[in-house]
Amino acid sequence: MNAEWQEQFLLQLRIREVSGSRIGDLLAEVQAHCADTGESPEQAFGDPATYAAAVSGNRRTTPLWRVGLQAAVGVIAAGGVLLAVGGLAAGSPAVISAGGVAVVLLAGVGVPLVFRGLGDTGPSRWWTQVLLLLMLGTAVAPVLWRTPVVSVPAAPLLVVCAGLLVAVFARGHRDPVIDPRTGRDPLLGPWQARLLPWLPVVPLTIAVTLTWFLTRNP
Amino acid sequence: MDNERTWPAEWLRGVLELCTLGVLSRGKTYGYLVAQSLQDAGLGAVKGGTLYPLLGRLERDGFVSTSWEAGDGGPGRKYLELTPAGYAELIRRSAQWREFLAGAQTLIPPPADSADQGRTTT
Repeated sequence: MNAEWQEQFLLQLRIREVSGSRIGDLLAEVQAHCADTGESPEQAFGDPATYAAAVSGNRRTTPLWRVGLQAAVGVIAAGGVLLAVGGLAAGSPAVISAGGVAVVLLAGVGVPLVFRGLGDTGPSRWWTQVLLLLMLGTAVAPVLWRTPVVSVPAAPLLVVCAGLLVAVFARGHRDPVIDPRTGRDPLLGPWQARLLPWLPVVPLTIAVTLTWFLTRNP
Repeated sequence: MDNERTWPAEWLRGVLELCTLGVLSRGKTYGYLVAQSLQDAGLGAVKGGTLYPLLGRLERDGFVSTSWEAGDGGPGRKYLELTPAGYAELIRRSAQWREFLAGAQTLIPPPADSADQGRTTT
């Protein structure tokens, strides 16, 4: 069955804050119906975003300002850990640059817009992709715009930001999608389902390691 | 009955929920068979994208109870069963529908043959 349709449907339901167990139920319904009729999900259920809106009542309880705040906190936590590690390696305070502040502000404003755009069912979805690319591009801002804004002791910054990061990470793991027929994730194999939540840890670990070796005093 | 016949979409919208309750009153069933029964009754092909949100609303309103059960060698199916509140709702809406239909029929001209006969005999 069309895996891309199911992934899009799952994403659209997540954006609309449908619970993991309900998402599993809805996906199982789609799979069972398509197995019975021989239709593809597109033929039977149409556009995944439109169908997700129909079954979820288009609800979204978290206000967009809170989505922006969560994104900004996530960027502050990850960026703070990198800055603190760089500071500890160099034996100096962590210096927060104008570029770093810009990335936090852009995440706070841009992520809610992307979030809203991804949930749209109309033709406005194209600009969401453009915005997402622009936001990824702004990740280089701290490298290009190094004007110092404030210096912070590295060790306390590491403790605070690592704690924030753990809190953000733990928050994202509370509501897994469960297939009511199998008690497992409906789209991923058992190993994939176990490893996927740890995916953000890999780039962060690589970034921390690189920062340590590139900035440490010999 | 011509199962492939299509009706104006607004007619189907008006009667689909009541007809679905009617199908469910025949006994425990699942989504695909509900769609088949509606098609067999001549209402046309009802797509999953139309049927399942409706079934979800009936479940949310307490008119239908659901349970996942293993299929015959295939994936499990979500079985649907009308609750006592669902039966009561079916009876209430059926009475309403019949009343509505009786009123509408007083305004709808008879079939062309009868109308022609009426004109020639008067």
